[in-house]
Amino acid sequence: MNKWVVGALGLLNTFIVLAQKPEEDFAKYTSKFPGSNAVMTMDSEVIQLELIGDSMVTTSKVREEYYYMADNPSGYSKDRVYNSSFMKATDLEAFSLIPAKKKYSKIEVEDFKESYEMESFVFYDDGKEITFSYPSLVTGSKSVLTYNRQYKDPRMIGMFFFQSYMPVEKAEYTIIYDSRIDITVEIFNDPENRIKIERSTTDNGKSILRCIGKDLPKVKFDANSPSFQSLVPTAHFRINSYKRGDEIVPVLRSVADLHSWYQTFTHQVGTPDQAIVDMVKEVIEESDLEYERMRKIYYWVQENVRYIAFEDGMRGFIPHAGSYVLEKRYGDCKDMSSIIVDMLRAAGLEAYHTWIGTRDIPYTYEESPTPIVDNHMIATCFVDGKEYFLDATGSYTPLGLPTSMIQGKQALVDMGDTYQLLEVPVIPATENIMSDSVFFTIEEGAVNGSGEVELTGYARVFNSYRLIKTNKKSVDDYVNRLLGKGSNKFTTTDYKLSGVNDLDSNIYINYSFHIQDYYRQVGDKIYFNLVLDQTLMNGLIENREVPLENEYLYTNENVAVLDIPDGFEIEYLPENVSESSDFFSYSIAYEKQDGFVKATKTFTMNYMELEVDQFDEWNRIIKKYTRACKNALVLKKQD
Amino acid sequence: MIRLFSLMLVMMTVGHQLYSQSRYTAYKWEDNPKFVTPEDQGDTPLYAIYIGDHYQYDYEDGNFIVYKTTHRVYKVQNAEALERVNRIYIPLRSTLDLMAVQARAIAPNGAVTLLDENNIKELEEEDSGYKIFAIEGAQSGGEIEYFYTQKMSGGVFGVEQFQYNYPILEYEFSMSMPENLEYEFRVRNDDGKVVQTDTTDTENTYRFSTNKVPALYSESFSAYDASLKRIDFKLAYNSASGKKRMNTWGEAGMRVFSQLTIQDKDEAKAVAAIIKETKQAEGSGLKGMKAAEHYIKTNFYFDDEIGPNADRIDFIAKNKFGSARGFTRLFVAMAGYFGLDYEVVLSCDRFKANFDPDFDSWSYLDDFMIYFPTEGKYLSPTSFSFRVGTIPSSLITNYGLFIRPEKVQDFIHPVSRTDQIPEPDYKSNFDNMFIDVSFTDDLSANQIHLKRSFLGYSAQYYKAAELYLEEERKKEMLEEVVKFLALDAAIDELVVSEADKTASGWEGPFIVDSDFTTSGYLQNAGSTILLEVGKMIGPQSEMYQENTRQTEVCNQYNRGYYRELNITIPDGFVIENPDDINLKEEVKEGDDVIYVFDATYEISGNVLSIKIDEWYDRVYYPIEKFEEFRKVVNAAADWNKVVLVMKEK
Repeated sequence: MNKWVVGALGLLNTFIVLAQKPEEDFAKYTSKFPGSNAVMTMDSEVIQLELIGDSMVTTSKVREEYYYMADNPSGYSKDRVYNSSFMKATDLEAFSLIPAKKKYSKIEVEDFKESYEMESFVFYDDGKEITFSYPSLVTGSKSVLTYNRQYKDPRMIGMFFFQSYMPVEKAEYTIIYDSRIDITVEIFNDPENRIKIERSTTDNGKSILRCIGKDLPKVKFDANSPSFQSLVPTAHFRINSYKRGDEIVPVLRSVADLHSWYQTFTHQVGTPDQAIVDMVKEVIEESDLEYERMRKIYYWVQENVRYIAFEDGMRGFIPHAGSYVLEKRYGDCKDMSSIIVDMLRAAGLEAYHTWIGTRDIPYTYEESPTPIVDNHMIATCFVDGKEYFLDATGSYTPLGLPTSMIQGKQALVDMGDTYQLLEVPVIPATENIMSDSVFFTIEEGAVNGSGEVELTGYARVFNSYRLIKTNKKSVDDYVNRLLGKGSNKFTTTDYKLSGVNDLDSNIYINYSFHIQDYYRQVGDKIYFNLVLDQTLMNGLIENREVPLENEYLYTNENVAVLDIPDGFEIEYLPENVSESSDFFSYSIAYEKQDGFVKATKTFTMNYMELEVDQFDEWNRIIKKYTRACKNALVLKKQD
Repeated sequence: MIRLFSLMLVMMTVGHQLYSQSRYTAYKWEDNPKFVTPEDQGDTPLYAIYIGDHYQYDYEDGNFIVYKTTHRVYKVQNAEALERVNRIYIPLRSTLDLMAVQARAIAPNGAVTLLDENNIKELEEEDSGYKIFAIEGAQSGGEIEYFYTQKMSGGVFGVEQFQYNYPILEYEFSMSMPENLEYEFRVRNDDGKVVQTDTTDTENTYRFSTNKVPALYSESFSAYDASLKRIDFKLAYNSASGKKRMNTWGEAGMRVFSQLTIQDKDEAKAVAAIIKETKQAEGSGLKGMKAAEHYIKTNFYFDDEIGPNADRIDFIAKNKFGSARGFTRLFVAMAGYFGLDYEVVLSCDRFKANFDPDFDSWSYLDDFMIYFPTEGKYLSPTSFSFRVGTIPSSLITNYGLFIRPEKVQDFIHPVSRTDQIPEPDYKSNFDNMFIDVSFTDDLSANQIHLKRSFLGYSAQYYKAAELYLEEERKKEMLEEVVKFLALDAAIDELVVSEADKTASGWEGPFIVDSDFTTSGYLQNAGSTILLEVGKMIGPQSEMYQENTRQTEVCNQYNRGYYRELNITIPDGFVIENPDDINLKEEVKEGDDVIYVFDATYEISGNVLSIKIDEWYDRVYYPIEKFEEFRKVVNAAADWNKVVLVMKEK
């Protein structure tokens, strides 16, 4: 161990909380973080970058400390550390500090258990988790975890979060580096400037950059929340370059550097071989124009190559050749873009591998030219001067629609020695429509009628997943739920699906239905609510502290036409209502026709992310909408 | 059954020396797969053409082992079907060696793609993990076929399932073993039988096969897994070591009991220390037990994934967490300390399998309970929300193995029997509501006073949640109790009036009182008010869409819902259709009403009083009488739709 490392360790020691009496700690934390069951008193990573000879040596020390105020903190016992081929955790040490009268007594964790991670969405993951439990936690206990992290490549060091699911008393991200190394640390999601940056120098001339956050509240997650990294203050770290003698060795100064590194993963693929050429001949016609070739090839891959995710060392970065994927008929996102690119190129089209981050990752490449920014690969094809983003992992996505998870994201298009940054569009609500029109008669409380549903855009895509199942019963059940309206006594008596297997077609469901006991007939009057569709009624947002994410923008249209029973006339027709805002609008309109009455309800969800300060306005509109949905038509027997 | 049988291997080696030569014959599939195009299967894009489970038991180098082959052939007619079966996980738990793995995809044009063995990956974990691979070359409209043979420690008990939510065209089960061994079988949810096909000088073989097993889909109020067709089996005799039946309930009882008994001084000291910590050192009887249980369940932590250390009481005392077996051992020791008569009970989740008292398979012995016969109460050592008297509803009504320590001279001798665990009646689990309703002056909303009280399962759930949750979450949880009735409720007041979280208060009700305002029950129809009174009891389960019922009725537990609604009718208004309130459906067994929904009303002055009594008092009900049960469930859902028409006089 050289002197410098010893110095750094000395720095670490300052983290160890100076001995305070247990009862003082308890008083301090319960008053500082009232209502909380636990607090993270220290969250720290210290990264050291050193140049030894020609190579950069990276070490990292992680320290996490917790304090528990809960009446029964034993539920917090379990903890885990993740390991992957890019980031290996070593030298784990963990212990509890249990309050005695005047001091804490230390109990070490003895058992660490390593196991694989089994996630439903990644088939094979070389990542492991090391699980363990802090012994004997009681009210007023602390726990401490320390370990070293070894990064396989300094370009993968990445990021640090300053907030957690519990309050954080102190979070520190420290980089100690040789002055020959040029680094950048940037803080994101910190509008209130809660993270402070300090710079200093060690005795032996190393630079220290330290980002510090203090007393940060907990993040209260909720369903359909933006990702953690979209919400909490986050530091991104990257090495721009370092000096080797007089030479400057670039690392990640810019998008160009990132791309030239990424290029080392893709330069070996992208040249179609014979198997691909032969397959393309089968898929397209010689006479097909470019657009038609692209369409046929993209659809062929969607239909014939199954998506299976692998996280397997560097394979996580390097795509297989298209012909390999052709033989296996499965692949991860990189493999699927690889076969698309190969086939399109074999068909004479201009196509490229394209890196992109899903909407979970809120940064552009320009903001942070690091591998943090992406987690996905697609293919980009240029036809007639227009770009098409082809993501075959979305099985039922027609050409022209990107997958919903990459809408609005920046794409890094790999054009060999050069690259291009493009933005994937957000598809407007007018293209993602579910419309449902019904015509019906009524008798003795029951409604009988027929209708048609049309699904377009993402409404088509997402319903496809529910309409293509392994058995008919699942489809029947889903159709009944999708069409369901009026009450849960709605039954689909018959239906016919069309367009499901043709990606270029909208989906249509033609059906007949019955709703028993839907309306009241009392005396000579019929009370009938023509707003059969109850979607979003009472859709209030409450107890929520984080924005609400929408998968895509969309429009719903419901038309109901009632055949007025013989001998009845309209006594009361509800008023037309409508309101619109940037994020949500609706209208309900009633129309008398000869012997019929028609109600048309439309609403548009026009937000990708609804911000917390919009919730009150949302609730106000939803309350009005809900009330507007609860107006009954009154029919009266003619004298 | 985890870890009960570490001694089994040793036992099974008795008398095997005769057979030192391996009789293992490698499993083979058809070299040229036949492409099957069976008659119309149009409704089921996924089905199994063949499922085979084949066991070859043997002795090798003094060990009892089995070669187990799993063989599957699927037809996949769309992308969803393909993706259901194209990822294969071979479990490595108890696996000594993977003898063979073969897989192939047959394309619609007959082209065959074989698995490249280099693409088999391993999810490594100590003593378990998986070998995994994806089927290569699989195409929609084609077939997927694979088999693998695992060499494993010879299992004495086992289960093979042969029904799924897709049909199986052909199922085959076979077993062979040295002739001194004899297995017994029970085929569940199917009329078929496993038959002994051959008894030669050297081996016994058994076989079961069936065709056209229909898909089973999940249904509401049903135990899906327990209803699936399956074969339970056990090793019953070994003529090499005598004529006695093996692995009986009695033996299970002996083994379990010895494992639950304190073995050394360290543990004895730990028990004493924990009892001291619970402040019940002076306690006795059930009262002492209850208080100690409450202390442990509010200060310790149950985790069954730690490893065998966590079975020891000194480990639990030090760490404050432990395993199922560890806590059972602790509670057994405490029962002794408090001078209670007790029996250890082992059973299994009845939604997964019904414990068959007439078939002594130890695979039913999953979950521990402790039974106090004098008091007639059960304790669950691992359900930390429940206290003595309440056990998980997945265990009630199932049979169990009861092990009673009996003193014979100076020795404690465990005596075993099987018996049924009772189902608590509906009065012990309720969700009752008393609701007072009035109108705001402008008749645009209702002001509600709600008193909602829970007893039994949901009460204990709320009490436990109150103990563990942070203030903010507690508040949200309580609001949900109100918002169950009206999503738009503006809550003025919300209090828990029975917040007794002590051991003695745990059995009592959990009562929430709230005042709130809602416009959720009102519909506008010109000058007429439509009051959706049915919604005041909250959303109800319904079985409107049921297809032909496939399984018997199975409830979570018996339960009651009693509601009283007092609605003040606004001045100048009259209810035109009060008789819509009356609704009654009931099911009787003899003179006993076992399921009922009964709503009635009275109007006195300007107050409409509604009383609704609803209860379910049989956990199981036969499939033949399903319609009767369904009528009661749907009566509640129908009542949910009652709308009162209120007109100006």
